[in-house]
This record gives sequence, structure tokens and C-alpha cells, in this order.
Amino acid sequence: MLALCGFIGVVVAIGFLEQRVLVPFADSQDPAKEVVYWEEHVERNEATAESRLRLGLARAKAGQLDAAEESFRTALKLMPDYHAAAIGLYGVAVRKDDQDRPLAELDRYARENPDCVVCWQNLAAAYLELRRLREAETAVVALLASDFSVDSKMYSVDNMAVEAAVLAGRVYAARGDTARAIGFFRDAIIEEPGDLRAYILQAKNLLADRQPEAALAVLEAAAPRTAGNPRMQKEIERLTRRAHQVKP
Amino acid sequence: MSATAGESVEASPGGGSTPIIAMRDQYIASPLFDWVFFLGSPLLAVAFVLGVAQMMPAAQIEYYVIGYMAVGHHVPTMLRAYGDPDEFSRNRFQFLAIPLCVAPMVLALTYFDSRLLTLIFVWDQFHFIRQHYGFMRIYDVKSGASSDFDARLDQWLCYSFFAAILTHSGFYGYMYADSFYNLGISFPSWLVVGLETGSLGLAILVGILYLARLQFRLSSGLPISKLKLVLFATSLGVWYYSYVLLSDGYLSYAISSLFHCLQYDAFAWFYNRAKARSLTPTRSNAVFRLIHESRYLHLYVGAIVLYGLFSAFGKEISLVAILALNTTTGLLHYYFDSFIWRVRRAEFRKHL
Repeated sequence: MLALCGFIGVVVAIGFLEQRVLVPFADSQDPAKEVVYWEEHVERNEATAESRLRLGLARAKAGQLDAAEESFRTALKLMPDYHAAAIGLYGVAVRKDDQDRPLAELDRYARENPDCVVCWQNLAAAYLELRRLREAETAVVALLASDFSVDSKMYSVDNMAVEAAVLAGRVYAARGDTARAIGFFRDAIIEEPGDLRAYILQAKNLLADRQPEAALAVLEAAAPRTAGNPRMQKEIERLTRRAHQVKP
Repeated sequence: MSATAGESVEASPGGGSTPIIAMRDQYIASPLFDWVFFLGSPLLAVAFVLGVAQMMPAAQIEYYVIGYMAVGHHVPTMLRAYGDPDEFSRNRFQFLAIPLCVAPMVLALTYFDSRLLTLIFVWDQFHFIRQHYGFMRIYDVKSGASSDFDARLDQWLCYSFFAAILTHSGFYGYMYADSFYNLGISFPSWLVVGLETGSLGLAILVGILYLARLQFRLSSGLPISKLKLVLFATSLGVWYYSYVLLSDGYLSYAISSLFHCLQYDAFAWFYNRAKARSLTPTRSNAVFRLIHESRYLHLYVGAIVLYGLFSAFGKEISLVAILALNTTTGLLHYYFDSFIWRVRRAEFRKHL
């Protein structure tokens, strides 16, 4: 224990002595400096896919999209089933206004790596936005079949099950399958009762299905959770007024 | 350590008589048990993880190893800390006060800002090599080869070799860089290169000193623990393979964690069983005695698996609470382990 504390102590002490060592956190947010730091790191770790990915993220943040793409591609070459690199590559291509090719690439990658939860999530969202609903449904079915527990990180509290249920609800709502959509929004609310998106979407679909009583019950359940969120409060008020106008 | 019942006395090459402990008595439990759970477990872990990797994604393997083995191996620590009445009375303050400080701190960090928690992996790695050093000491003591100087040399050997492996691991280089960077600490190239070169240089120097010491012991007719050297070769060899050569974040951690947990769970069971047998039966030590009886081995294994299962299913109910719980038991495991398995303690040697 003493040896460990001693080691960390020495490193931090050197950092204070040498100004280049300890970068205040605000400075580390400077995208250009971040790129230089990770470029130096990659020079020492050329064969490490994670390092290439980290450089790609820094480059993407700094707007160096071509260089970022190159980093993500190298990361994927080093580790062909590196989901984060596949998503990074897709994200950069989308930012370069090139939607079709990266989408096709990500689709192919996801089919080769069906355990890539975040791939299916991105694909479902993208297809939904493009109104390619059949493909969106395929992606969302694969997403729902995924093992979310494996994807959650050691110290992360993101709940992918909620995201999947909300996305599935949106896809089925867009396909006109309101009953199924309502079911998914209900699942999302059960999974994460604090997520207001699911309440709003469920209420909207219940209204579309001419179930104003059920919609009002959902909105009533959501109301106490909107404290400090005036936008959501207004939306709930608007939907409540509409619910009173809809006849079953 | 005094010679055991199976000790024989043979003439040393130097002409003097040095007690040589029979090979069989140099094992912690038995040859088969030691080779499976301690000496050969690093190699078994490589074979198992790489074999399973042919059938399922690396991330999934790491998830199961962390979820069931790594989280589960906190249980034997708690059994020893809170179940063994002698251990509890010896360290009552630490066992009661420290969890009350750590748990709320971890819960708050998990909930508000978990960046600092990622640094726990530094302690995680440190406790891997601490455990390995502990096993080397036990084998040394069991072979009658222990001395203060050799203990110190073992410590230098473990730390310098492990540090050299870590600094030359692409994945761990990234892990350290990224975790510290997220906290606002960035290391310049000269420092990282210095650490790489320095740790390698130190490892070579200590390695040469170690070989010289072995040569000296050999020529002086002093005993050498062969099992300790085998353990060092298999463990450090596998660490070098998984951290430097393989350097796959998921697989290398899965291998390392798997053999670490196997060694720990097996050793804790073996030691606690001996301790439980020596206890005068009372109501307060009933659970400790029961769970460490040979015929109830399934209860011990079940308790380890159950904590993993509880964590896996508990996450469905409250992810934050379970993450905080696992992190707390992890930190307590690292901390308690630093004093509950002291090889130099007479009681510890007695039960081995």
C-alpha cells in the first residue's frame, strides 16, 4: 500500500514540478491539445486498437474528420470486432454528410457482429429517421434480442434496456402498430420510471389509439416527475388538454 | 518455519547438515490441489479463456469472469473477516469502521461522478501482484528457504517484473493514460518512456541479482523453493503473454482475473477449513465452521456464485446500488487482504 501511494505521490509531485505533466482539467478539454496528446500516445502504442480509437475520438472532437476516420479504420484493422471503432467510423462519415455508404457499412458490420448492441441501436435510429421502416424494425428486433448486461460498463449507469424499449416503441409507432408501441413504452416506464420521454410517447400513442382515459392516467403519473422541467410540464399540459378532447 | 513431520535431514554439498523438507510437504495442500489451483491455474486460465473465445465474444467472456469470479471472490474475504472470531476480534475497528466510511463514499461517487472510481483498477492490479508475492512467501516458508533477505528480494522481483510488464502492455498503457487523462492528469512522453525503460532496466537488474542469489544458495547448500520458482514462471509468464503479447483488453483481463480468483478462492477455502477445524464450536462461529467443512464445499462455492448472481439480477432493479455494492466489497477486499493473510503471523503458519 505504501509503495503504491509512494508511486502515485512521486508521479503527481513530478507533475507539479514540470508544468507539462499536470494539465488542469479545463485545459485537457482543448481539442487541439487533446489531439497532440493522443498522437504522442499512439506513437508509443501503435498496435493498440484502444489507443487508435481514443485518438480517433479526439480528432473527431477537434473536427479533423479525415484523420479521425483513418484512426477508426486502423483500430478496426487491429481488432476486427471492435464495436466502438465501427460506431466511430459511422459517426464520422455521418458528420461528413455521407449517410448511405456508412449506414450500409455499419449494417454489414452489425450482421457480422450481432452482439454489437450499440450498432443495432444506431442502425434502428438512423433507419427510423430515414423512414426506412422495414430495416428499422429488423434492427430493433436484433437490438431487443441483445444481452444488455454485457454491454453495460463496469462503472456506467446507462440503461440500454430503456433506450431499446423507447426506440422499439418509436419504430412500431411509425409502422402504425400502436398497440405494440404502447407496450414497449410501458416496458420503458417500468424499467426507468424517471424517464419522461416514455410517458410522453406512450400518452401520444394512447391518444392515437383513442384511449384518452389511459393517456390521462399516464400523464398524471408523469406530472410529479416534471419538477424543474418547464418544457415537459407544458407538453404534459398540452397532451392533457388533447386527451380531454379525444373521444374513445 | 520449523520443520514439519515429513521433514528429512540430508547432507548438504558443503558438508554441513541442512534440513531438507520432503517435496510433498512443500505443497500448500497437496500436489494435485496445488498444481490445479495455484501453480498451473495461470496456464489453465489461458487455455480456458482462449478456448471459450472461439465460441463467444471476448466482451462477454470478460463480463462473466468479472460478474461471477471477480465479484464472487470478495465473499471469502468477508467470510474470513467477519466469520473467523479470532480475525474479527483482532481487527474489530477496521472491520466495522472502514465499511461505514467506504460505502457512502462509493455510493456518492457512483451516483454523481464515477470517473474517480475507474482508478480502482490501479489497486486491482497492485493486489494481483501482492497476492502472487504472498504465495511465493508461503512456498518459501513451506520449503524452509525463507529469510528476510530472500523475502525482500522476492518482493523486488515481483514488483519490478510486474511493473515492467504493465508499462510494456499496449492495452494497460492506454488504460492508465485514459483514466488519468479523464481526471485531468496527462503524462508527457518523456515520463512514460522513462517509466518503460526504467522499469525494464530495474527488472533486468533485479533478475540478475535474483539469479546470483539462487546460485549462492545452491552452492551453499541452502534450500531453494522450486515450487515458488514454478509459480513465478507460470504467473509472470502468463501475465507477460496476456498483457504484452495478447494485449486484448477483454481477454487479458479475463485470463488474469480468472487465475487470480481461482488461486484466491482455493487458498481461502483450504486455510479457513484448517482454521475452522481448530475452533471450539460455539454459536458465533457456526456459519464459518459449516461453510468450510469439506462435505459442504458446495455451500462455499454456492456463496461465491450467489453473490455474482445476486449482483447480476440486482442490476435489473438498481444498477447504481449494485455497482456501488460491488465496488465497496471490492475495495474492502483489497484493504482487508492487506492484513488478514499475514504469512509472518504464527497462527497463519500453524494452519498451513
